[in-house]
Amino acid sequence: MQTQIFITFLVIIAAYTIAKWRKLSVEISMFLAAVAGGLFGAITNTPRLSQLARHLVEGSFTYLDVMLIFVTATIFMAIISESGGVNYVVKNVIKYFYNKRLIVLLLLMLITLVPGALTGAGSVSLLVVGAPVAMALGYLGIKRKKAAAILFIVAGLSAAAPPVNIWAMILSAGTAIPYVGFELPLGIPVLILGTFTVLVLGWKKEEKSDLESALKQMPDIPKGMKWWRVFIPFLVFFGLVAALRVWPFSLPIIGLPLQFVIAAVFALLLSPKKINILRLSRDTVKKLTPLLATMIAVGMLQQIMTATGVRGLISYTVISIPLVLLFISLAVIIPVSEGVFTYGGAAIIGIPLVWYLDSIGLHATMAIAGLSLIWPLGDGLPPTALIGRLSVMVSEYKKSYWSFLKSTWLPWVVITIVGILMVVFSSQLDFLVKWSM
Amino acid sequence: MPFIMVIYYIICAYLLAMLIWNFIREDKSVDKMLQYLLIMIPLILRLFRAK
Repeated sequence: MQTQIFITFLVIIAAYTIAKWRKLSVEISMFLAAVAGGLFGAITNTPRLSQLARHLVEGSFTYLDVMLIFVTATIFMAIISESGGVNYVVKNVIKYFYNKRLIVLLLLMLITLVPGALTGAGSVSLLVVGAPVAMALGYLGIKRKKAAAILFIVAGLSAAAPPVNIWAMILSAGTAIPYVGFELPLGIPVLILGTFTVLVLGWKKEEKSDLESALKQMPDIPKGMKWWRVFIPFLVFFGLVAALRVWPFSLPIIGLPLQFVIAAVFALLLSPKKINILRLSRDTVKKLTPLLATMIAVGMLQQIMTATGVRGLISYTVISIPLVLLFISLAVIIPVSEGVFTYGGAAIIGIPLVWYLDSIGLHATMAIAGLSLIWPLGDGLPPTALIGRLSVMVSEYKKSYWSFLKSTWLPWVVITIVGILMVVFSSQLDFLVKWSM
Repeated sequence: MPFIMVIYYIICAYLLAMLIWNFIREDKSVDKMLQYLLIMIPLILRLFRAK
């Protein structure tokens, strides 16, 4: 039986490799790997051939709620951006804090963190605020390579930041752990590591720049744009989140997607210029297609791996690795799994890993938080390198991709160490989870 | 059907409409068209309340 499961696993890997070799996207490659694994498993009736389609469809539903959060949050952020809100905030940060380097760097970090934290996707941070923030970093005398490195690390951290962390959501859904209590375990390290990154990479002024020419070159702000037009939609969103926490039994549970929709309606009504919401939604969905397709393919692959026994085999392998070696290998396994499978890595390797860590007495929520700090680093690794490529693109860095990646080494190492230590000492850090609830 | 659930069906329908729109406009990449179709699966089934 074990041999047959192992061969099924090899078939899945082979199908994925061949699909990638044929230059298909990661999403379609994962889908084909799931179909191939299911068909091979059907030879021994695990699953039955007649049940294969059901398993695939059932798997496609796994992350439907996460997809809806993705879409609604990104449309909300796209409205803020389209209305000129992002440019307004970045321009004012440069205007008022240009000579206060520490404050300006921290504010630019927070601006980059917000879209990713709300949507769970670092790529959304880069798509929405990446270009103006890269421009602002340039005006602060930071070279393009370092600006790209800052954007990559901070956008990655934004994806890990609360309230929406897709890796943590996938792991929670797959291990039957409620997605609650992540605010402080994720929020505190993200802020500390983000601050460390912007200071290490951005503190030194390497190129000449002056405030006047910087302000002249920045995009124009739409007439009538005021701070409250940007602020109120966020206030509505966070107000709804807070209200449901304060009065959990008096208010209906409306869910994050609907909270984003309500905030988006406010953003649309408060925009100083007219926004074509249909065109904006269509373009946003187009930009999000790879991410949405990844969620579907990951769900299908996860379902097929469960039905064929491959997931069990991986779990068995994980628990067979000596503990110290397992902790050390997280530094490689986690980013590489993200680079190959994107969010699929969390489902394939993360879920059995969390089961195991939980079974040996570690705190699952803290362990998930620690692991989900390391996963975004893999978004800089090929074949996908989603956030890495976008960071290079928005900062207009034209030289070698590897030289950009090398410049991220120090925050990369520190984030990895912090993530692993959070897993190792998860039981001692469980007070952070308690304080979040 | 509770009011909030109705809104969620509308959100699903809106997303599906955007995907169909993009699918029709896509005339270069077959890979991209397959991705649109893949995403449509749970949305269509949810709207038809198929189990």
